[in-house]
Amino acid sequence: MSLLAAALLGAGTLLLVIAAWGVIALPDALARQHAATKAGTLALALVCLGAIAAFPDTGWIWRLALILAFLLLTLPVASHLLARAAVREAGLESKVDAAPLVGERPAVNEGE
Amino acid sequence: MRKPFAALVLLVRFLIALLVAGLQTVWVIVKTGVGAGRPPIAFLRVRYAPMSPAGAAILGSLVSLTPGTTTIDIDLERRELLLHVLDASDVEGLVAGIRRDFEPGLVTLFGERT
Amino acid sequence: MIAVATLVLIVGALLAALLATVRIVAGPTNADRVVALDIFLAAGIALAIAASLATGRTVFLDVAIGLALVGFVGTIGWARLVERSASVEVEGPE
Repeated sequence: MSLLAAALLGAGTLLLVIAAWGVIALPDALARQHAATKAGTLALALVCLGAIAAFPDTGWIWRLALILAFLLLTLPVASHLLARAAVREAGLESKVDAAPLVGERPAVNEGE
Repeated sequence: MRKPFAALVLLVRFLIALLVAGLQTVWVIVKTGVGAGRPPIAFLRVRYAPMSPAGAAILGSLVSLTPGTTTIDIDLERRELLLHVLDASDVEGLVAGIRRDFEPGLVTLFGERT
Repeated sequence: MIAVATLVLIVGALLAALLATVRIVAGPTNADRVVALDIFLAAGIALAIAASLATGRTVFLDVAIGLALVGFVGTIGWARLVERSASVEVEGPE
């Protein structure tokens, strides 16, 4: 059990450092935001799971589960708002408006 | 009984997508960081299946998690998602993945009969 | 075993915070700074969890819960502010 905990904690740490490195290395704010939100949240999720594996008591589990739930629920919203702010600030609206439509879908005839 | 099941399937797919998205983002960072050439970045639009605004919002959130994409805007009138893609080397596959993994469940939960 | 992993976690989180600080100082746009703040916050949560692991007490987990909540609201607030001020710059003050 402690081996699993150490492995999860180590993986989480590695991902956290890589995410921070991505904020340095990637070329612009839009790309950096991917690194911060997706990789950062996955890193914290691994750390939380590692902590659960290290101390599997009720008090630990529900607190860590709460942290995990907050992180997962807030990730898409934060990602979306950061992306929009980055687009606005870099003045990329025209580029966004000119984005091509991928995967053509005809009129409404999906589903059952 | 179909709705709770669809919600459960969607939750599992959400978790899998989170794992894959995180790992793929890490891979892109590492490739860029060591100077092995970064993948092309692109903006694109995707037309989604007819569903209520709540369903569209949840789809936007889920899409923010599919590997390397982030929803910038949702166009409710034209039923389009505006996406930013970190790794635009396989755009068609990306869109196919969104439609295969997320849309059916959401249509079951929030679909509109029009 | 877990003590070593906790130590590694602390060092890694500090390193991540350092890298995020570099990006906050360097900019160049305000959106970059908000993104770096997000990572900084993740490092803070990781440190709170590490403190909890090192002492074996759950109080620091409560700190991490608070950080996760406040940080999310903060990120949203900053993102809105950056977005709004950017669109004012484009249109120009009236």
